[in-house]
Amino acid sequence: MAKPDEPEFYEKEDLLKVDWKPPTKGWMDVPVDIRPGTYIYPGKAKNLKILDLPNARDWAVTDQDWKLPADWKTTILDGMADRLSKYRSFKLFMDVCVRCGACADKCHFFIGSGDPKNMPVLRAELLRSIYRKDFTALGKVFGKLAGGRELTEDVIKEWFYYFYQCTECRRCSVFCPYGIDTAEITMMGRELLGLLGLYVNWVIEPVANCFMVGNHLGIQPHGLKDTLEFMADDIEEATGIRVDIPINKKGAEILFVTPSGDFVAEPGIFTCMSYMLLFHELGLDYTWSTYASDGGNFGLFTSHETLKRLNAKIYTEAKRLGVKWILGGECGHMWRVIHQYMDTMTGPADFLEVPKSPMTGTVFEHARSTKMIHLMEFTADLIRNNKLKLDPSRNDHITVTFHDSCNPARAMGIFEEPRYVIRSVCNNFVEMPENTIREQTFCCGGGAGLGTDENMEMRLRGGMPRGNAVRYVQEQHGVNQMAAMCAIDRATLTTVADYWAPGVKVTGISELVANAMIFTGEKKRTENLRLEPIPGVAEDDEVEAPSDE
Amino acid sequence: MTTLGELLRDNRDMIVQRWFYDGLATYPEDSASAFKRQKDPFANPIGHSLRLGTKAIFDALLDGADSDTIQHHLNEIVKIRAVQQMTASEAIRFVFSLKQAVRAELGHAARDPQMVDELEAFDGKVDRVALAAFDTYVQCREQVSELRVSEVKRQVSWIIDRVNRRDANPEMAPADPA
Ligand code: SF4
Ligand code: SF4
Repeated sequence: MAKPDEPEFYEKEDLLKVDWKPPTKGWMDVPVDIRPGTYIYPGKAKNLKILDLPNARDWAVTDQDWKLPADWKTTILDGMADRLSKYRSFKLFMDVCVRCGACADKCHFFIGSGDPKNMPVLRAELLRSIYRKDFTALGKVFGKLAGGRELTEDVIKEWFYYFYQCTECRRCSVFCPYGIDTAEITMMGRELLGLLGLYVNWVIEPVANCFMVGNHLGIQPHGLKDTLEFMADDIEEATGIRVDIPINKKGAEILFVTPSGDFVAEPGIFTCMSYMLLFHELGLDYTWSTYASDGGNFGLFTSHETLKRLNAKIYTEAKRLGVKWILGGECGHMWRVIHQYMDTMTGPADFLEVPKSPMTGTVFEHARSTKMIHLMEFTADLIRNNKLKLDPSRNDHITVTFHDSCNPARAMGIFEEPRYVIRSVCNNFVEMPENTIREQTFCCGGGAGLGTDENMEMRLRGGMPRGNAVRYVQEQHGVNQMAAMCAIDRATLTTVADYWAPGVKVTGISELVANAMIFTGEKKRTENLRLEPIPGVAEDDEVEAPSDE
Repeated sequence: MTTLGELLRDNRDMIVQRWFYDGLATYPEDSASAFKRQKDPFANPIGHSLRLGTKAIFDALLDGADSDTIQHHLNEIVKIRAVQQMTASEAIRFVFSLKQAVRAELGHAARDPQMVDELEAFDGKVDRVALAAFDTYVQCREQVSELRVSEVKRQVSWIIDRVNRRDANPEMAPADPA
């Protein structure tokens, strides 16, 4: 036998036998490889207790023993039976997949990781294999031959790992000829895990906070007031305008609800300041609520019950304050909840009126039932009716692209309004490639409760397809900002861009609007809302004051 | 007498393809075949960057190595692998497999004693690419930790700054006249 330093060693035929490929195994036999950077910390006992959830205990994902309740197996199987009878979609999705593979390479987590269990069809198969084994006649007899498998603790661990590697973004469902929505399967998977007390803290702590205080971050009423006042200070510094902050104002016309992410983290706070400026300029009769102080609803990522619990507070508060209708800020999954669940779950809100813009008189008929509209619908209507004084050239140093957030895009179908608004306030707008926007938009990789920092590696995998498209427009068209109307996006895409497309900043759409808007009584604008100097406008430049028509 | 350079050029497409396949072989078979099939750069960034990168790096090595080109493509590939379920060695191994790809495609020609020196020199170049890949890998990992920290900071720094501005340090405040 030749040695590696002898040419014979490298005989072509021999080399052809060298195989780096991992041995081919059926997916069921590949054990789950849980390593730091890829999973989210488990839900703390104290949070589960607040919500009366079962099996509250502290545990770690890396523990061998996850301290499951003794009857965990029956709990899961009963839970599955219950959901199969309650939700027709779930039963259908379990039965009709023909494994055509159309969805296989459509998930951003698969595209970014190369892990086959991130193919939507296999993600669903994690649950379906149990369904087959225990709920179908063939599976009961033939087991593995019929694609069924035994429910073991390892299966539970695998579920926990992979159902928290799905951002419930629904991109895969766009490509499935049967309309199978893997996001719904993930939701079922998470609900079942919940029956055993298996939650992630990044979801269940916000849910507990929201349940107790009214928002995910647990900001108390006085804290919220302070935060909004700090924002008013910054607004004044940038524009010279002091905005009012109506809080819990009874009899206001509109209740405004936005994700609490807008209250603390950059760049969301700038979006929040922009809402305040816009409403001030319009003289809108609106109010914040310290109780319905989150438009987001992490209950959606937990279970139908918690979803409902958290959603109810918005209507309850609307009733208590006696408003006419509800306006929602730049949130992503808020709109999934409102368009797909709120009406049947908490509505119909007959005590409210169909939203009607006090500025333009436009009646938003499509919200006849929920009585709640999106800020971009509201703003687009204002611009269309010439109600805003705009100077888009103030944004000339920005070349912006638009990230369709999964939920407003795929769950709500709001594609044109944000684009219309951006085009009205920015002269340089560039679309990303067609197969990465609108219905086919790529997720930020941090939605559905994945947006924490301990699973950063996983998020960067999931965010890679989006980041890749951003970098393309950055290189081709000099894009330096990406607008997104979702608070999770504003937080997580910033990191995604820093890694995959460094140099591209993230902004809310309202921030672009506020920076382009000419406000009554504003001072010469030399700084934007981030209190950064606006390029091309020096402090002492003689700039003509906008004339009042 | 043909030189190694000429041989490599003649067999370029096959060598590069083999190298590309080896790079993809780090992924489970189902994934690798999907990445081979899909040509759209946005639907398949892993396959695309590896396909493009292996070709470009190989050409750069033949044409007397413009190190910027090599570094650029190395970045594209390693940046992805640095956040995937791989150990450091798995992430970098694809560079070394170029050596085997070359030998496999050249077959008997690679055994020609005349070639040995030239091959050795070529191997040296590949090793240098591998070393650069290690540096890139480490930079990427460091960046991931930094991103983690800055994200957490972004969540609190604005509000802390505002609170501190309002409730200024009492030690610094003027003495209470009372
Ligand atoms: S596209 Fe639909 S039917 Fe085809 S494998 Fe995926 S989920 Fe199954
Ligand atoms: S819903 Fe989104 S994250 Fe989940 S499997 Fe489908 S594409 Fe992947």
